Amino acid sequence: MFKAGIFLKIFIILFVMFLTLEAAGYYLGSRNMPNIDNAEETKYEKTSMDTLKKRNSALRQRLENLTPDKVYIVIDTGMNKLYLKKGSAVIHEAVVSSGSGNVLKDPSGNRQWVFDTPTGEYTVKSKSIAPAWTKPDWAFIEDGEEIPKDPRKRIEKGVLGEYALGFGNGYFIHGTLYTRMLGRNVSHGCIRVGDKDLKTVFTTAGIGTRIYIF
Amino acid sequence: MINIFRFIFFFIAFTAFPTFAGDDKEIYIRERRLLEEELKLSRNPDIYFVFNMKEKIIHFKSRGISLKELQIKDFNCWGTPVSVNTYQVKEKSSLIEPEREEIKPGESKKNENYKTGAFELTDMPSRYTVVLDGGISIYIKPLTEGIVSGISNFSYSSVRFITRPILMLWNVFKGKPYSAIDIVLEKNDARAFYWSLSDNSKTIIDTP
Repeated sequence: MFKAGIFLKIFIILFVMFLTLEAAGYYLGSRNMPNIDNAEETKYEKTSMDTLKKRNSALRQRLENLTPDKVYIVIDTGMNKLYLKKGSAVIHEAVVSSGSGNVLKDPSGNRQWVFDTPTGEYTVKSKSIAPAWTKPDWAFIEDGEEIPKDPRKRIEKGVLGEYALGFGNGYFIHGTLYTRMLGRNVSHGCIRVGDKDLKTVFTTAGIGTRIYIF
Repeated sequence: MINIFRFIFFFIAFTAFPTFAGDDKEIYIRERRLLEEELKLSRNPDIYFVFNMKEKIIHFKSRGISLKELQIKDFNCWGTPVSVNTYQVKEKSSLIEPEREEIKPGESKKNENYKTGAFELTDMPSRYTVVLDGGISIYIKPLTEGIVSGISNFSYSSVRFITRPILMLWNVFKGKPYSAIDIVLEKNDARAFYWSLSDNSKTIIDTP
């Protein structure tokens, strides 16, 4: 009975302390504070509103001018969509397959591959018709085969479709034999596109066309 | 009597005007800062994110080009005000982290039915925390749809309601800023944002 009373008192004291801390934290978090740096405000203290408006308008224009007037490619790897765009208008849309995100470890060494499609800005570096695939080491490891010493044994024809657009580091926008898998993340990092859409992308994009992948 | 009304009118006009002018100037200073920060980010080829809280939009951008836009359904800013700066993602965390599958070498040749599950958008969490530098934490949750998500959202908000003041107090004692931003997105949009965010991604936050 005596112990229960002490425990109850301790519990109440701790609970009150907790509530006090909560209240103090809540007060500090929800009080209104100025939403701008003082340094920033003093920097523009003597600048008139008109000057500020003009400067902002010039900066906005500089930013808007960054959108290319030429065709560019946007790839959404999460939605597996490719967009051909000009300015802010979409001129063609295609369902694609991008990187599976799977991991492959080399059983004999310390190498590891993560099959993600790289993100960021790239450009079309090469264009080829009826491309042949030079199989990298991971393709042999994945199939449980020995890596050939003769480079000619790495060449495989007909797996990349009719066209390929290279954008660096061995990554391509190319065709696929597995059209049923379009819309899914199944590739080793390249962008697989269906035949019709690939032809449109290939004929519209040239060397230097910008590619944005996210 | 008329003089009294005139006096009141001019008193209100003279006291109120400088405040409005000051507020306007603050808006332009913030806009300038936002544009300057974005121009700086557009010099790099990386993907960056702009949170436009006034228009309730998250922009996915690169080189100043808007690549994708997500509609913010609701938001709440709490704690130290967030100034318009570039913030870097330090980590993103969720209760259950999505896991990548490992390919077994040679298995596809031995077994025709061998398949590895892809790492896809549907595997991404829709309820998670993004920690940025500068003491900013963004809490993303999906719109409530049905009982299960309603209970999950309620539990998540309750835990946040209790932990937020303690974190605020802790950071004040340490002399560090603490800002918490709660954002509600459509479930698929929340997943898409998690998908595209990587450690070290850059963001700009423009709060109202």
